[in-house]
Amino acid sequence: MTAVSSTELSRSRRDSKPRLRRSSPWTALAFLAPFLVIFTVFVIVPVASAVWASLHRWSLGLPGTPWVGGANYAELFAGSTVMSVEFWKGMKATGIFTALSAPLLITLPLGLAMLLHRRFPGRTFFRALYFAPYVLGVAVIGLLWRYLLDRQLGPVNQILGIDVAWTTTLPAGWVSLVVATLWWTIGFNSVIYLAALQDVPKELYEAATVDGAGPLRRFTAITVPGITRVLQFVVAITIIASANMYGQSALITQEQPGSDTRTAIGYIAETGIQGFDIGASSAMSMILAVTLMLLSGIVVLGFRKLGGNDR
Amino acid sequence: MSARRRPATPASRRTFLGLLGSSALLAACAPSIGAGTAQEPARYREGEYTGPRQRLQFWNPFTGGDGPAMAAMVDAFNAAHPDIEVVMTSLVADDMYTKVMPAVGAGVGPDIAIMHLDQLATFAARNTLVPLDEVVEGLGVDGEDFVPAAWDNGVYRGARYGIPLDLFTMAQYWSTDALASAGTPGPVLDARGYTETVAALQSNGLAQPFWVPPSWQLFVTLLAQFGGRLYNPEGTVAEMGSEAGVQALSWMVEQIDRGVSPGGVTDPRTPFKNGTAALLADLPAAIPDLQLTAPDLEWRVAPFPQIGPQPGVFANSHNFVLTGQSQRDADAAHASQTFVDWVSRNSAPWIAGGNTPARASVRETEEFRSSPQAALATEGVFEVAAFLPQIPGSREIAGNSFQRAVGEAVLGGVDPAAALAFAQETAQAELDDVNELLG
Amino acid sequence: MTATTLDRPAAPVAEKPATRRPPRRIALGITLVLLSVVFVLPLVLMVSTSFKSVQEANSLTFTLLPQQPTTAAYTEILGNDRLPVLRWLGNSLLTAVLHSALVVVVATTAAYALARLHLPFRNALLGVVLATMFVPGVIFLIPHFLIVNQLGWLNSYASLVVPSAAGAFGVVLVRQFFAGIDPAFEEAARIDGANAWQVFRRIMVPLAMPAIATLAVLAFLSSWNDFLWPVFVLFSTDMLTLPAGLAQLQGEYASRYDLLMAGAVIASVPVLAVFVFAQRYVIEGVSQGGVKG
Repeated sequence: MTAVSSTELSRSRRDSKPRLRRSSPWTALAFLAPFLVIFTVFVIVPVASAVWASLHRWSLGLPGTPWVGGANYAELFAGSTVMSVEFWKGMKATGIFTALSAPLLITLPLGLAMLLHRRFPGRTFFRALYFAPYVLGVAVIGLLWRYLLDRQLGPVNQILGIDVAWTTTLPAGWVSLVVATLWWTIGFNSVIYLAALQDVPKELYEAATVDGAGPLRRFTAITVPGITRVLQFVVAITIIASANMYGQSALITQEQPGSDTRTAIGYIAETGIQGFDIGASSAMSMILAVTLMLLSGIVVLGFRKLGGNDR
Repeated sequence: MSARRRPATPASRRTFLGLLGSSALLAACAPSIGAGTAQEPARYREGEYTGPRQRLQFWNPFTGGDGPAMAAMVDAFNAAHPDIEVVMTSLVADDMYTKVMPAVGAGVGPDIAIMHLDQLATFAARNTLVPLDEVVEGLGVDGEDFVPAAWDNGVYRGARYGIPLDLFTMAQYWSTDALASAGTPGPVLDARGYTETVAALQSNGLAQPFWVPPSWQLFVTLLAQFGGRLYNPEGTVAEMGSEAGVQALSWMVEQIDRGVSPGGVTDPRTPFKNGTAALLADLPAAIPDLQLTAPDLEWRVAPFPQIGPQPGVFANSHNFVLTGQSQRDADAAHASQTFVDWVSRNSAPWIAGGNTPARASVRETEEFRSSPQAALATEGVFEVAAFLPQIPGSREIAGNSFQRAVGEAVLGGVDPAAALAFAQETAQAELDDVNELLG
Repeated sequence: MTATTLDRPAAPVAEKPATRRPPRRIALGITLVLLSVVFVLPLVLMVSTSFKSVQEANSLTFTLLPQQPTTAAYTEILGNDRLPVLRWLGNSLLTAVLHSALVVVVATTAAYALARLHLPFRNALLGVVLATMFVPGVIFLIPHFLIVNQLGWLNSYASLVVPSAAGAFGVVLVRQFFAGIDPAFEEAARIDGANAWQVFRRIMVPLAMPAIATLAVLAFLSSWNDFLWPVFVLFSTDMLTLPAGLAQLQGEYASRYDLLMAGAVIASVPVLAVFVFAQRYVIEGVSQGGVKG
């Protein structure tokens, strides 16, 4: 996320100066052309049209698309229509899921990575094993957990001898979604942490051990600062990924009970693509997007405050 | 991927401009998305289609027990028409209505579809469907043979878009054994009969004999019986929050409050099948399901009882429609017309799907008269059938207004009056929006 | 900038206490085994149930293994041409490979231009590209649907391959790698008369292979895992990807868990097989995407 630091930009500018004279701008543009075509049509135009659409009343296929200014936003914020109520319910569902799953998806994989960071036979095997659910994809995971958690036929209730409606009641529904997501993606974050841990110089641990630092002290004084950049990356992508959750609630809880586990993005898709209401759904997208950008900003600032050195 | 390849031609200004041009072209397309062009009415074409083999796509929402019946009709049509191959796709109704407009626009949708009567305006206004007035006139289909209410409701803004295949109304199902042993053989006829039957069943050991789900069709039925309606006939004013609406929804909630039904019911068929309940309010789609999955249960079906002061029952109808895609050339249009006409006239196998054929000539067959749903096909029912009016975006509006209110009140314990007032306000706002966008 | 090899020996400090203190080693072993059960058991149940009969799958008593193993569910699902699971698998693989290839081509060419070639406003352009990294994906959902609709790409492979191919992440990842390559390599080739394309193909791309592989893996996985988009842009049964198809399967056979699990197994086996052989590259790709990204 924090991909190119400013020092780097200036370095590459300086480095490449002598060669730049030799290539014509057309060469650069030719190399850029495939990217620019797709970038224009599928990045620039969409951002512009999302803003444009959110300022119009627009029902796909109907002739009129009158300009309404901020009315779509005003209606959503006023909370006086069913659509606004349902949208904020979706935002709340997204928020609940993110708040429940992101902390676990940030901390547990770090523990797993530290476990796998040790040297023991079959380490590669275990690493692959824990990562394997990720490659199965959300649909397989959704079907599988729908089965595991079925109230009557599911092994979870049968093995534990309990009767919990995992997919149709709250808060059990949230537990289901979080556990399934954890099982599915824990390996993904773990391998990122693992690579970061391997980049932390061993000498630091040796020195700390010599100085008498215990495991906890070594963790807070060496491990965490050593992986700050990756930690920030993981925090950012995990929050974004959790906030974009859709497949699990579509397949596992099927948005039940009622529509309580329907996420904001699910409602946006329903409103815009099923209900053809492009104007309102675009305004919803903008609100969710701005929320996520603010959240990402807070993460970045938070890490800066924590003294995360930008390498 | 090797480094040994012939030297590539240096990127020239021309290549770049070419690429840039195509990018601009793509980009220029984007902002023009939106209103399609108005559809020309389908023209009538003489006789059955013969000629080069045509392949037609036929979408319908028959994913349940009615699917095989429709598949049989399509197979029969294909067998009788060597020049036409109809490919049937059954989609979950919500999916179908989501996909049909963009799919038809892209030319990868259906040529012919079955849509619910209340969906015609939605897709007519969006130019997905073509008017059928000339076709029905040419075919000599003038509504004479059809249930009048179903036929008359297939018109939006003066143009006909649907040819009814069937109609279906809210019904009551009862377990004959349970009611007989309670001493109140069915059917339940009115509010008093209902109270007596429930009391008898309860004292006979069945604590919760009638499970009430958040069924909006049940709500519309009761709404009509209490003298209300969802909208004015022009589809410009929402009226669901009326006193009648509150009475209708309160009646449903009352069954839960009085313990006749448990709360939180989403699937009332299962308890009916396994004897936990003895009465069921459901559509005729339950008929093939009960026959298939509860073969040992003895049950009967009849029109839903008159709970309110006047008769009334929710009604809807599956309709044949032709999409803009079917009019891509004369042959496809002719073949599509042939299919609709033939299946409509030969709709007897549809009886197995549990619904009532829209054509009187099919209802007069012995096959229909001996079917369970024959009990629902009375003139009395047809006269008081409450169809939903033709409103573009009706399902969206319904989902955001009265359907949601029924769910909130029945499942979520929200006060019926408050739920309906909010629903009416929302429906009114959305009606105003739609009418504004229609221009 | 060198690629990290994940399998190099772990930190000596980390291992020493383990060898010195056997109880800790045992605790580690137990933890690993327990964790493995947690990860493997659901998969075992998936396979096991797929070999159960309808009656057994609907039984209210739990059995780990099928009492009377049968392949009936597989026969039923593979024999149903309304549910072409193998075709869905093919669609998923094909579109994921094409998407991955397109991302690689688009990102590397653009990254080369942005890292090395002369262009007015190059840094401004880079700035715009970078800025889009911070635009949440949800913004694109509705506009992409409209544009794909307008282009006539609904229900096509193109709708899955192209729209998200110009992500800023790939360009930034590869550009950063290019920027770290010693310019002397290019100078030498230029002196030998190579043009920009030849320098790119013969020098830069081979040198940037670690980054490119990372990008390819990530692009493949994101396409493979995509659910929301294909569910909404694909219509016909034979065009569905696995995620969209399995969702349809679940919609139609809500509680036929024997069938659903058979579908899930069919969907899992090929990708797990590939993963067994390519796990090093996949895992390295993912971890490098994180560390270098």
